[in-house]
Amino acid sequence: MAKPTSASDTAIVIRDLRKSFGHLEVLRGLDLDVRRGSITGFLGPNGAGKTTTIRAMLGLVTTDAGSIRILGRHVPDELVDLRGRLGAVVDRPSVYPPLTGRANLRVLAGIAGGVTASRVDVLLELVGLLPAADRKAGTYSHGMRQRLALAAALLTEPELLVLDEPASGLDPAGQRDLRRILTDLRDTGSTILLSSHVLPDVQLLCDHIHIIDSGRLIASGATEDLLAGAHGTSWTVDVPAGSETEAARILGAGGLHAIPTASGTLTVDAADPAHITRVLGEAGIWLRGLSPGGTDLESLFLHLTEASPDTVSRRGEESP
Amino acid sequence: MSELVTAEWRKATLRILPYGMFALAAVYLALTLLLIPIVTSILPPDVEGVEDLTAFLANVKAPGGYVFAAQQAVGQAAIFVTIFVAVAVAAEYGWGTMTATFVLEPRRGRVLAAKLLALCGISLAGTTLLFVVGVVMVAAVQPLLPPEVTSEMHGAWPVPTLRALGLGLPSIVVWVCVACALAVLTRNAGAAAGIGVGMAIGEGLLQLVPLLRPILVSSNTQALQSVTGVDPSAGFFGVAAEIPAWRASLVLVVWAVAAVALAAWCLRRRDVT
Repeated sequence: MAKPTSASDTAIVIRDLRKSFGHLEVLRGLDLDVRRGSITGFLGPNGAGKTTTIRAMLGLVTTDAGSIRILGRHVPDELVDLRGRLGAVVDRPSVYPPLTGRANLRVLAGIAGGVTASRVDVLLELVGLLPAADRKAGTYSHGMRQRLALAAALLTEPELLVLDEPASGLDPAGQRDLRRILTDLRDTGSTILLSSHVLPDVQLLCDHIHIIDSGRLIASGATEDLLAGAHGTSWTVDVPAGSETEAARILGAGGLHAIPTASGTLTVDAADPAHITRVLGEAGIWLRGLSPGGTDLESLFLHLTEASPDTVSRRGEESP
Repeated sequence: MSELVTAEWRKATLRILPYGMFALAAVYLALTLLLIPIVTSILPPDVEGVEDLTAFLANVKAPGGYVFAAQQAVGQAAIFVTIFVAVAVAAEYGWGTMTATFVLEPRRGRVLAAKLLALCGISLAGTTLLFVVGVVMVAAVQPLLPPEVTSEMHGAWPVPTLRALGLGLPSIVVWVCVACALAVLTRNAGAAAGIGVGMAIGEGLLQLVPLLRPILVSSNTQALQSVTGVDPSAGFFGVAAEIPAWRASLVLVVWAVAAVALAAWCLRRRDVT
């Protein structure tokens, strides 16, 4: 599904990537392109293969087939050439609990090489951890560990930042700070691949979005294009109070996908709104209102992933 | 490379783990050396095997007792070094910091080398401090020894004692490599430390099996430490060192190389999860 692009304007090119853990196929021919200088959302339900893809990109897991090129280098063969050009927060924030926040960064700076002591303090301030820098990281909250992990990923001022659930555990201020940091990085030319379940943030931040399910790419494109393409298929349906569940059931029986919302309306996918009025009218439920649904990323994501034929059979399975 | 080694050194020394391990080892060694004369002095003289007891007591009689202190320091350090290294390395899998390390430095062989260098440095320094504790304890227990107990070694004691320490230290390097390999293999601090300590203690006991003696770390270490002509450990196991120094050295090198090769294979070939 990914269109070929020239090497100079892509930071990540993945082709036909395959990986199995025992009998479980986690990646099944994944293709992916990430443009340089963009924030690209990398979405998928649990077990879709996001973390495995990210780990493969970082050379942490071997793959069975396919190719990965990052910043023009083959992974894992030329991974050493990416040293210092690549930063990542993978899966969960990894810190040394017995060491202070500052010592954590100094140790990691030593491993990265060529990072000045002043850079450590700059990053502690950037992620808002300077007041807690001399506390042991073991006493940090999950959100503070996330901030520390983000600071570690930024130690070498990387060209490409790969973030797996960086907003997990962050308080609202932390999420706002994260958005600011990521947009600042993009504005200075960095490329960011962002895997997250906080879809409003992804919609707000990302220039491009890739959605995968069951180890395959199922949707890809500029954020605006994806949302525009989905617009017109979703409708907000207002039915009499108390009849939302029954209406959703009837619409479902009529072949329409309907989701009750918290505001007492239904979000219904239908190419023709007349179909909705006819199905509900025949069941004796009269509409109080019908309007084009403002398609958001969450609706699009749910629509795409719940429609995926593999989703039901894969539910409950998680990749290692 | 030096930055990497410094980072690994800092990572290990900023924790309480090595200090706690070597403090425990020092207490254990001091008690061992103190209890030998105390326990034997309270036994009645007509107890069966009293001649063996006299020989046993001679272990801590200066000047040969200082060589015994060096042997004991190395032997006991092996156990505590194994725990320290196994926990230090395996904990990184639990914390997820092995992932962070390999993202920043994809050359896993260099990471392993840096870890081994740093951990060997700490372990050798700790063992040397342990030896000092042993020497002090041997000096301290001299007044507790009956006058008929004599040491087999005559002449200046510092040189053979330091040689015994120096020739025992390579075995500490071997145990660092073995513990590191176990940690990388199991990725579990408890399992790695448990297996490592089991090996360190178990193979000490396996010296009693003549067939196995030539391939064990402990017996070959004792063989090396006995090149001074003094073998105070004979009182413990009745095992005289009969392995030539060159063969003992070779066996220790084979152990170290095999452990490092196993660790390197695991680090390079297996997925980091």
